[in-house]
Amino acid sequence: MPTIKDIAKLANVSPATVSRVLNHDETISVTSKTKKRIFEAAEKLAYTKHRHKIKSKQPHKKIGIITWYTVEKEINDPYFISIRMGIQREAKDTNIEFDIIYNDQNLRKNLAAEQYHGVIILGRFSEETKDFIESLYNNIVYVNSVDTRFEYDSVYVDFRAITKDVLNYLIGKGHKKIGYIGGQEIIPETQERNIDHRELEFQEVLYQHNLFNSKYFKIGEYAIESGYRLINELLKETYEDLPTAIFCGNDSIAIGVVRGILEKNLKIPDDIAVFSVNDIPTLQYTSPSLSTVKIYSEFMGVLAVRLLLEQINNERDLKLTVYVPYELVFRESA
Amino acid sequence: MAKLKDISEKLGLSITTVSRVLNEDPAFKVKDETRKKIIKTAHSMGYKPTARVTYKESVGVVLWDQANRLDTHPYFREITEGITAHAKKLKIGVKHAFKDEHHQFDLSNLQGVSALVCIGKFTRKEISQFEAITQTIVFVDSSPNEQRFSSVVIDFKRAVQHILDFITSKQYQTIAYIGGYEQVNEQTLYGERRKVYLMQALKDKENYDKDLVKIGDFSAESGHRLMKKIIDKRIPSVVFCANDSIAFGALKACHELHIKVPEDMAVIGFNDNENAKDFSPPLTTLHVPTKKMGREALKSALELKDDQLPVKKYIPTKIIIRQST
Repeated sequence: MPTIKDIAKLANVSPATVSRVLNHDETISVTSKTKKRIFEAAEKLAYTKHRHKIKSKQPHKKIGIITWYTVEKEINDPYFISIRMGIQREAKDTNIEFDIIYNDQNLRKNLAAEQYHGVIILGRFSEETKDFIESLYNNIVYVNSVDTRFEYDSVYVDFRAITKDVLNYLIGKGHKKIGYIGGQEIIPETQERNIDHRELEFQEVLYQHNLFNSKYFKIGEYAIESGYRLINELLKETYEDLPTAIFCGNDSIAIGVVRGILEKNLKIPDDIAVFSVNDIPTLQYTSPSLSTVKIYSEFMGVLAVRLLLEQINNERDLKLTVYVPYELVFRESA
Repeated sequence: MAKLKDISEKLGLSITTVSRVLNEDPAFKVKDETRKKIIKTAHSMGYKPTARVTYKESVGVVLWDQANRLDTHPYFREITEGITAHAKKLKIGVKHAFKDEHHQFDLSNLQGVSALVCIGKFTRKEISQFEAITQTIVFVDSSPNEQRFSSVVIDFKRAVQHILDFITSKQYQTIAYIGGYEQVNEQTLYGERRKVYLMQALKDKENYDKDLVKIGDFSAESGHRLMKKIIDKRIPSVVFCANDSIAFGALKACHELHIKVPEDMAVIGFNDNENAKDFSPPLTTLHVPTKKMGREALKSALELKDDQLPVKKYIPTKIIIRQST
């Protein structure tokens, strides 16, 4: 397992900086560029166990990786960074050139200017933008968003199954007061809200068990500050009848939730257990270490490139929707 | 040393029969008893097969019981064909396993395979047996454990939705459904997935009529019998059948009762077996790309071996409109 020192070396910063950034210490002042470098280094080092098979080289191919985030926003979502790195790794292994196209005002210009053999779409875009991209390219793979029209390949993870497994675990441990602090995925251009499978499944499962309590249910953003703010609200509103477990929509939320709980001098997991989703490599460095669901996000990126190549090389005309596996990781918090 | 001729003469069977059994031709249907007899005789007569091509790598293919029924056979046979065709291209060997006289899988033929493709639904006990051969397993048409095994499946919910959208577009008023339960073994009955999604959708539209929903098995005989039962009550605008064999039986019933298809009643199948277009009338059905599923299954097996991470692949389906609607 990589140490903070290993990450510091790779990212060319001091171990103290690494530790503070990975624990999301807001008092530190480092540039976004540096933060990004640190997360990427952690990501790179975590992905060491996979055998490197000799892959067939694909010279003279160029792909575009279109991400719905801006550089700034992506830092707050290491999950997407890890998917992107999986894409980059696979592209490098197969000698494919790639461009990363961020979601800023130059998106359309950048896309129209280049001749890519295919593109990978990372995240959620408006129908309008998707139509635009689809008008330019035939070879497309959607990652982390199911192509609702099923005209292209998609790579996804089953958030419903994940939520069900986590809740079954918590209920199995005897928890009857289970809360949810979730987020929303908003499509940048239209400000529309996407359906959140975690949120839906959470409600369905708890209703089935007769355990749903709306006082323990809060939705905000997929961000640390939101997790922090909402847990504070929740703890205040329910202090005479606190939940015994909280399921957090993602790791960023969980970090904020943990901070909020600890500040009130409550113990994790003894007073309140916390379970999260995503398992970015940095989570083992938080205190207490977070129980979470590891989604094979880098593998999602690898698969995306693989699927795209099959399309580019005309090896397959069937459009596939591929789900990657996940694993519940039990650490200190639940 | 015994030759095929000797064995066939001793048993009073044709050389073709003996040859195809000893060469493990999966598309060849023969009684278990007969198969056993041939293998036993060949063994006792010291028969040695002519040197076969030895492949660097082999993949095992296991079919569940239902694949041996002539009715549901086409679907599973086509998937198997997809696997063997692609294996041939990749110069990979394919070994098949069958059930013995005690209805247990005889996996002795599968020693040394690098991966297993298991087509159909299996009990936990059977799956443990498979794991003893290899951990690299891909299931087709079921996904017993998505964190351990890869799977290649179709999205039933979407498939039923496609059909319902089509039904709506044609403005059919009364919808009948003839489905089937699948028997995994004597104790286990596999739920009717299409029905679940169909019921959900129909209940939402308040279109659910018990008399028009019948569940039997996946045979033409069952389709024939249940279609008659439905027509006894009334003639629906359209009958959606859980597979093409059932639709075949339903069409037969319509002919017998002088009900004109599609003029009096429309019929929709599921699978698009190779002979669906030759039905009378040619069948409107949901196309399931079975050969491509087989191909993807083999690919998944080889990928799983390298990646060591299982994936679940959903295969798209689409409705093929012919003359039965």
